[in-house]
Amino acid sequence: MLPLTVPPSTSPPTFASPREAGAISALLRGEVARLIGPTLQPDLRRIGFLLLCTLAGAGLYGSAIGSWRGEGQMAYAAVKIPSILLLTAAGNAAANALMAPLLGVSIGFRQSMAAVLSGFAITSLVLAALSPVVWFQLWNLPSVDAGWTERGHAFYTIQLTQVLVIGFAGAVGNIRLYQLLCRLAPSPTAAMRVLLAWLGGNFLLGTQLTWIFRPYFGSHALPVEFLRDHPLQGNFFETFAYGALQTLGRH
Amino acid sequence: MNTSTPSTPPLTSSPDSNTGLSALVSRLLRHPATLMGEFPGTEPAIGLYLVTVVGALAYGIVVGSFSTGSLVWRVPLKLLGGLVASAAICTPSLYVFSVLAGATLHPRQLLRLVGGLLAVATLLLLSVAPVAWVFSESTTSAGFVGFLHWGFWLLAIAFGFRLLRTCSRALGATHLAPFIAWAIIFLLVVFQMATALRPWLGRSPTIVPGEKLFFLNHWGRVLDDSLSSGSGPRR
Repeated sequence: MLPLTVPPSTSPPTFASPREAGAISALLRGEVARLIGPTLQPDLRRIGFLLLCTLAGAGLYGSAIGSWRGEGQMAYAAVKIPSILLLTAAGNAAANALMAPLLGVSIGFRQSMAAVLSGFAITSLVLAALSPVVWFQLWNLPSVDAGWTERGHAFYTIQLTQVLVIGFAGAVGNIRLYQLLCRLAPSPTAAMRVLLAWLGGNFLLGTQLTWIFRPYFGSHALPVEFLRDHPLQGNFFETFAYGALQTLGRH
Repeated sequence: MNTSTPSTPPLTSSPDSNTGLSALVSRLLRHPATLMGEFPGTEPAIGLYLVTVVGALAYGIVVGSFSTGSLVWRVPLKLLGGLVASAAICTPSLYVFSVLAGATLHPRQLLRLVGGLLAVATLLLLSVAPVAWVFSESTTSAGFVGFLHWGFWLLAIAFGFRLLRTCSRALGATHLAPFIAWAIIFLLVVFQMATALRPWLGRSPTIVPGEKLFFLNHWGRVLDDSLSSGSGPRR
């Protein structure tokens, strides 16, 4: 989709404020250095811009996937999807800042936070752009009032679509994050090491937060609610392992 | 992945450019990249959408001519509405994918890009409308006529995607993959829109069906019906 090579170095910043038109374009093009400064030492306003992109983009996508169940699910998912991204960034902020210099990329806390947030912001913008498509797809599926079989098929179709869409958006965000790390790292290998370490941490925390905050589009067999009755009970990996064992007939 | 940087035509218009609709169509077909630059006179997006409206309605009349009853006048409206709605649903992603491909895009240029895509596609449809009409009048197989219309549509939209590629290069895009991804999304949306707005051929008491179906399920049903009945529904 996008090249893993680093784009040629950009000229010095030509616009100073993220409020100017083109800030979103610069972010999507991977010109994060242009947007938040070549040394990646963003002030609060620029961090705020990345937060706003994440909140708005992921929130829009959340409302689209919640539209299948309607009722409060649209609002719930619009709150929960950006919350997961931001809590993941916050929860791993210290670990990310610590790992980067250990793995050969000498950046500080604020720089690592800005880099991770820029990846999440790009992912959120891609999700926002695909929200109308997702909304249209869900609108065309049998509703929860349909027969058990039809709505069950719809549920699994939604699951599959979300995996594809979120996977695609996440890949775009991470490719841009890698390109940004390449600018800051002494070598592409060091940049890749840091990226993989950050991805590992974000995956671990992100999957558990995703588990806690369920449901998103809402199971066709369960009522609409903000959180399940026991949100902290169990975890993603246990459930995955249980499912795998069930599939293999060993449980 | 195409990472080469092709030579791009200048974005500025020649000073003696004619700004009428025929000149716009000529420019659209011959030098589409120039539509992305400064343009004398009326905003070209208006002309492009006007061409789309005329082309879609005219081709819709040909599609509707196969049917009887209210579908004759409903089909042109559904064709135009479906096309515009599909484009509207996919416009945000076109912007994001264009920027990911490296293009620098102003909202006005985005409108022209979408307008150009639709205008070229509907012009192509208009050009094959006589052929489609001949088949509509001489065939009773809805399956065959439906297949023919889909073939014409895919041909038309292929030229639309070609225009998108040309214009995006002029806007600085260097990667092809995001546009291929967007083209697939747009085609999927169009297929689903066509299913949501069915029927297009035959007879129907309602404007749109009550039952919601995924387009692959719908196509499977149509294929089953056609195979079991031998030649599909009759007029």
